[in-house]
Amino acid sequence: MNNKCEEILEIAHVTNRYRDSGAGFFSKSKMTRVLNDVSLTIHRDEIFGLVGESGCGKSTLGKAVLGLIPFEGQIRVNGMEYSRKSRLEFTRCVQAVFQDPLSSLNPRRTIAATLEEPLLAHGIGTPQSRREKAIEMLELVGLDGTYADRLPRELSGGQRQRVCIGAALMIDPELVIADEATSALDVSVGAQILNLFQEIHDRKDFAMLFISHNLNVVYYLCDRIAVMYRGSIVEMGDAESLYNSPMHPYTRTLLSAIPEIEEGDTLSRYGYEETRREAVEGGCDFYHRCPFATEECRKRPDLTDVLPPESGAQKGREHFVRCWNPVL
Amino acid sequence: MGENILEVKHMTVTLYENGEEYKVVNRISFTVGKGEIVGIVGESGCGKSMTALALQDLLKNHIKVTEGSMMFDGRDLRKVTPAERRQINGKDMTMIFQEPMTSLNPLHRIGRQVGEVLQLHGSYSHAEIEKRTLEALSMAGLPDPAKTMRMYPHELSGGMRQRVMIAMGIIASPKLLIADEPTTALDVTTQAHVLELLQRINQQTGTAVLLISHDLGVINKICSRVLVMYAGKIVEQGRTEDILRNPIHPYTKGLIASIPTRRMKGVPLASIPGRVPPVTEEKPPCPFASRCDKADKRCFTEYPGRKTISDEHILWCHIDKTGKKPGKQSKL
Amino acid sequence: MVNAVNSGVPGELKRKKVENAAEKARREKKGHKSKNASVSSWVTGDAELRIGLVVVGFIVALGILSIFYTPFDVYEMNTSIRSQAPSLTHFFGTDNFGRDVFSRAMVGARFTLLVSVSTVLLAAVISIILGLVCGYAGGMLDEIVMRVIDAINSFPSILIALVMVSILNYGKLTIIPALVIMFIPSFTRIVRTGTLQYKNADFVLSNKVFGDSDVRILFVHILPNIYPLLLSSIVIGLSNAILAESSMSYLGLGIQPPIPSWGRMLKEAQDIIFSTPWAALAPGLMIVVTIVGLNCIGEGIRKKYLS
Repeated sequence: MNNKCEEILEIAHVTNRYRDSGAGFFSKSKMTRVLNDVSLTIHRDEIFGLVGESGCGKSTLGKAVLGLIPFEGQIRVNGMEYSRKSRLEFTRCVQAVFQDPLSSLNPRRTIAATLEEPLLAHGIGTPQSRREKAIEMLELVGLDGTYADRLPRELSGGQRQRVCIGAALMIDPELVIADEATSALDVSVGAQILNLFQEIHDRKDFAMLFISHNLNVVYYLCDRIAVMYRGSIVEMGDAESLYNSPMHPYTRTLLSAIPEIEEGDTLSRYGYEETRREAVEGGCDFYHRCPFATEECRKRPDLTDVLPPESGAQKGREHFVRCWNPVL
Repeated sequence: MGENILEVKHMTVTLYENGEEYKVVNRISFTVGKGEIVGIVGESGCGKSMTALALQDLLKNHIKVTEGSMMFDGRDLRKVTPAERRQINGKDMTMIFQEPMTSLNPLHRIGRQVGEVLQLHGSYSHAEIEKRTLEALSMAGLPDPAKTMRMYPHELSGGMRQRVMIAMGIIASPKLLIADEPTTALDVTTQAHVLELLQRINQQTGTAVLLISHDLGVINKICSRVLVMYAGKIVEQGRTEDILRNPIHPYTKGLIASIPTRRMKGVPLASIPGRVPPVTEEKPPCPFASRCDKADKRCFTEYPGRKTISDEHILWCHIDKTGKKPGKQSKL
Repeated sequence: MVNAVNSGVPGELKRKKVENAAEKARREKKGHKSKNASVSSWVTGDAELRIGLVVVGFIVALGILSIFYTPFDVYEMNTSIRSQAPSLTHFFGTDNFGRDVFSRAMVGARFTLLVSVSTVLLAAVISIILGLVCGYAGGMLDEIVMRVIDAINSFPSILIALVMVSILNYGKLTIIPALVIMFIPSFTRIVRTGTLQYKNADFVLSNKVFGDSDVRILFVHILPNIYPLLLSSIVIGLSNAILAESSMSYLGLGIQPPIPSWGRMLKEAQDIIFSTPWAALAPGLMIVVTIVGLNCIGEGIRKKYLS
């Protein structure tokens, strides 16, 4: 069904586990939770950032949204859930740009062929019209028609990533997932790509889920941001308030660790050093490292809005934290 | 040598491929003072890693240092014998790499690998080696050195493995530690720890550090001086604060402007047009000319010589502080 | 439109100018170099490929020619000219029935090649489907099919041929199913390995996200990336098929007399080795030449496209 929902992406209580068979013959298998009861919504046309370090589950969440991996819980894009039957309709709404532009392009297909692929998959247009759309898209992403018949290996990393972005936009999706889209590129090329994202987003209507480990890039591009740690969202809110007044100890740790090039940008050093204690099953994920842990942290907190509407805060300026003692 | 532990002069590294010669590093000169932390920053293909490999004599068969000198502690590294070289590597000059997983032997325990460095460089007793291994591991910030010594690489996290690498790099009390993208594969919090560790080692033991990175933020955190490289040449160098606050070379400016910082939200990043040229491409005398918005005819015909802008701030460009002025040196 | 050229025009023009000059210089340099091609192109497989193609092409031409013309009739027995040594009229002499050996070898080429080519092609088609499906789907299907294939692999091929021939009747094409079964295991493994390698590739993931059906992904995206690997094996498979067919015919399991096939001719030549030694020369030589030629092609392809 395609009636326009306000929320383009609804993730509700999503969990993803896998069974790790254990090292030896007789070790018990362990259940590892890659995603732990994750819930978030993304509004139409917004750029939503998902940050975290390696192993936090952000990429896994991206793949789950795309329908590439199984999970428990519910994910709805434009009101639709992914299933084998709804594959075509679903993929009409959500597309992706991945980290490595070289391996994301079929080495044996020309650029135009790759760009036309989404149209072909959905049976849109004629060979002529598809080709025209492909050339249009090339121009939109800052290349030109001469690239149409080249092979991926003839292009540079930045150019390939532009093609990938173009391919993702060919069928006008409502949501684009960018998973570490600039991480494999040189700094100056990455800047071009960020500019491209910004410019295209201003021209066309789509929402973005921008996944990255680079905090500055996420702050720069995104309207709202969620911070993930070990499979859970620990803090979520709009970019300004999250970066200027982070409330979760982990977020503060993360932000203070960024090596900045401008003076005064680094959040004052925060005790992320050697607070270590035994983790507690069912407790806060950050308990073992948190300088402010108390007894109640042995129980996992819920994600709560510290700026609830009643408090008079602006609508849409919610700020969620999963902490018993957030730094307010 | 006086105050410098390393003096590189007009060093060129040439790549031989398919009968062609390509200069991956083109006549660069720089120094590292004793106990200093110097950074080299640049994007892919700029030659920073090649410089490090050249210093450590780790270049492969078809890549060679073809020009210039590398004076380390008074000796020209191009002229030392292989036996002398083996003495220097690992002891006086050590290197750590980006991927700690592939730099460690997965089949040997940590203690053995770290201790091996000492074994190769002198005769120490078993007890002495063990003692120094524990010290090195502890200095590298590993919480339980005795336990770690008995572990295998795959049992450690990326950050811990990198600390083990650092321990291997410092156990023989080197005069110079070269770190090639040591934190690129690490999380940002681990990265902060590792950088602080390098700083602490530098302060406590006086080991000079040559830090190579593509990330100016990383360089800014611990390096007092920085060299900016592009396509095989150094285009600007100076004190880190100077370079960051007052960059003059168009490439340096472009690089800094490409990094999104808190102040720039919503503003298009002033990116550098075009792309980094591959090694095999023919380049004009100033390799950046074809992407430079201030380039003129001169840049394509005449190599910009070295200009001293101020104490330690050196520039290789035809431009000066304010605009184009043919052939004049100028001071701030 | 996003202006990738963020600066003024001069910068962009300059870049193009330098790029063009550099391109020209490079092209000119390359032109000079390719004159010293011979040794290096052997190493890169070009020469091998050419030799193989010429040789095999010649044999194939003979085979095709035999449909329309042979120097002498292949079946007519003429005892008056039997067991004649090679001469200008009979290039490889006559056998003990007076039949021209060369003509028989030409026809033999046709049948042997026909059987081998159809065997390999049929095996390839079946293996591609099996390999793609098993590699992509994985799970139980993959396990079961691969175990069946392992079982087939463990039987000596001659045994399978015997079984097939006794189930079906002797016909000139009976040999084909037997040989096809022989080849399926190795081809399927190759295709399956390639599929496993590519099924998790980023671009396959990309295509899934685009909305491609699994069938399209398999045949349009994965298969074209695998076929170079398979091609080389197919060519070598052809030479094995020729050997296999010849062996079967030698054993009497293949094409039945009086239709000549190389293996059959070798068997017959064996019986008359003392009176008519040259009877073995033509078929034997042709087998060797064809197989060497095919191996050259296979190696040439491998060197050119896979390294």
